[in-house]
Amino acid sequence: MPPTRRAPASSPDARNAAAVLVLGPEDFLADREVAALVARAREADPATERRDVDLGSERAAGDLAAALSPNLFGDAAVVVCRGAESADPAVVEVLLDAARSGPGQGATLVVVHPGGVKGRGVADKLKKGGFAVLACEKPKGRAFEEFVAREFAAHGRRPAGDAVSALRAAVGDDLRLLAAAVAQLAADVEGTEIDAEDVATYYEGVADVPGYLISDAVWDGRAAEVVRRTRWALVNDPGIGPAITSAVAGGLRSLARYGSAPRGMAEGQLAAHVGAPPWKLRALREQTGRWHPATLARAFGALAVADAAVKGRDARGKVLQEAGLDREQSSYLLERTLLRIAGATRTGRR
Amino acid sequence: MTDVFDELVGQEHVAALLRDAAADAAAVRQGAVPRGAMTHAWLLTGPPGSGRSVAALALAAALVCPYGGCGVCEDCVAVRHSAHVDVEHVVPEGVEYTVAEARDLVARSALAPARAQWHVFVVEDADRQGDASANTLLKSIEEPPERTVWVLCAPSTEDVLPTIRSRCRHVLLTTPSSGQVARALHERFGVDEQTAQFAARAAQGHIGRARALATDEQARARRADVLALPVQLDALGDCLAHAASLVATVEADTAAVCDPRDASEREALLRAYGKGGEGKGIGTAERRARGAVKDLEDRQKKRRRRVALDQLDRAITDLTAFYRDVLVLQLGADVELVNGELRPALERLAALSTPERTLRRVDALDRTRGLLESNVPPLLAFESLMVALMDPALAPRS
Ligand SMILES: [Zn+2]
Repeated sequence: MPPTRRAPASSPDARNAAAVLVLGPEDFLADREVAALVARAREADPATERRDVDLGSERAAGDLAAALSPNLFGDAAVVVCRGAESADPAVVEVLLDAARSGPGQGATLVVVHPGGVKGRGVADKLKKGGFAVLACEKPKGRAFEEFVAREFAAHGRRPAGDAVSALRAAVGDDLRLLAAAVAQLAADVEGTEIDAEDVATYYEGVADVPGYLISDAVWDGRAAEVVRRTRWALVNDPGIGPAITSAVAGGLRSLARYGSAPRGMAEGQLAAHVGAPPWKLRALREQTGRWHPATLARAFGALAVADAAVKGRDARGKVLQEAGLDREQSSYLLERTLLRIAGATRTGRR
Repeated sequence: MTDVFDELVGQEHVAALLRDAAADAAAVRQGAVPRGAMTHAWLLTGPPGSGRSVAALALAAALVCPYGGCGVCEDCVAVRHSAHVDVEHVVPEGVEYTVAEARDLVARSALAPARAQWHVFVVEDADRQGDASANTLLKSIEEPPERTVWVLCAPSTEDVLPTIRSRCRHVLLTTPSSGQVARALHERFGVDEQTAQFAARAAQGHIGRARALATDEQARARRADVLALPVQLDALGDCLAHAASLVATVEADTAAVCDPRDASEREALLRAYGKGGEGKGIGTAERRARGAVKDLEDRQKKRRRRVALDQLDRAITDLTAFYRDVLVLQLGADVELVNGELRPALERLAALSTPERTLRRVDALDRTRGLLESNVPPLLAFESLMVALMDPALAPRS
């Protein structure tokens, strides 16, 4: 039975070591570690030179020797070696030699290795030969969340609510894209906290806008967002209209039930009565304050008509196309209905 | 004379006309020169409950019965139960006939009758089809095979494609009076006179509905629940709760009707594909049956929707009659109330609102029917209905 290999952990104080093995499949993290090592060296000595060597190339031995030799003026250097997984044994020996004797005054030797099966022997040799390890595994579960949180923290921001999962839904698991997305959000959104709403606002063109986000915008009375999100959703998927009316009607149902619930209900009871999870109750309490019961009552009829429209029919069961109304117009009717509702808060126009 | 046409309540002229047609048809099969009373394509129209399908099935029975529609022989009984080999009694599986269904009908219409003199197609709700499927049917209706007869049923001639209309002989049925319906319930089904009168009035001339109300406890209970709603709709929360419970009841009743039927159809289909043989074969049989099962499930889903919609439609019809009664009281019109037994509730609502508001409520009921046809989820459609029927003035003053 082959031994199970655990993901390598980073060596303590690896970032100060003179010989470093940046090991793991997540090349975004590897690039970052390398960049950080170079930056650190330049902090100590601004004249530090970066020299890149491809260990997989035929000229690797010569290139490596040249890179490792102290230059004429004795400037510090960071030698960054890639392609270690396909390096010749002779080249590996040179690396080990350099690590044993020290790469030279003010010099740092960095070897990047993607881990995995290919070139596993090389990685093992380097580890045994005194290279400090910086692990670059793909973060999973909590580690993933921590990664995104650290990205936010690097920009002095904090993800709130389900911002992390919203971001993941919007741009996917690619760390490079995620980091770029966080940087973009940090540049565009004001305030310390960045929430799922913000994420949806900036990435609605990328991801599908879930119906509940449109529903929330409607029942929060945020008219501008209602229009923007509805349009985006319909552009991405012209057939999404019924899902939108369904979500908005669901939001209305919860809201109206919440507003007309008998007083003094326990939280669990209330959640069951409303038909929403308990964590939604606080948002409902805030939303309820914005609406007159009469406005909510009227919204049921308006949504039913809009639902018929996005299904290509009118309230009398007639096919809209026969009445000269095409899909674009039925989308417009949906948008207008939602906008009217969202604009009918107590403080807005009635 | 007693024959299958006696079942037509209050439509003596129609009974005479169809009786004559059947007699002509029988004579033609024996070599007589046609008198022109019989034709290959019929269009029976009349409001729901006027007995379109009763009339159509009576004609079908008269054509396949060796005695001209005696009403008691094996053939007549089979027709009454939609089980005669030569009488195809079709209803749209879903909301509308599909082109595939129409094609299938046309293909079967080319077949000669198996045991009777005629091969009869009774097509219910012929208005429920798009142009494509209507045009498919048209081919066979225009030039029917020698012994094929089409009997189409629809609410009115306007509901049917003109090209089809012009190829059919049109028979207009009228809604029987509640007196006629009550008498029929009493005489034919032995319903006591008082119940018969109540059921006939409540069903507003719809004979099938009247019979259900007269003989089915649950049908009466469901109707009573629906008619108890108007005086309870005094606040938004109640409206939503009542809409939810009404829709839940309809769903439960639909499941009670459809679940066993779906299960036995599925069972029969799988058996036809070889299930129930030796254990080893079951997997293969099910794999082969998969496509057929998928088709069956699609049809069952459509039927389920139809069954649910019919119940919702009945609730709308009953509520509409209720508000018409309110209007009658508000206007002081000298018209018999459909829901006379609910007079206190009717009077209360009449006093609280105005004729204009009552008319708006009747209109909301009509719109709800349209919303359901437009595929709006029943819950949302009924929530919006209950809200439109709501009257805050009903709330007890505190
Ligand atoms: Zn007979």
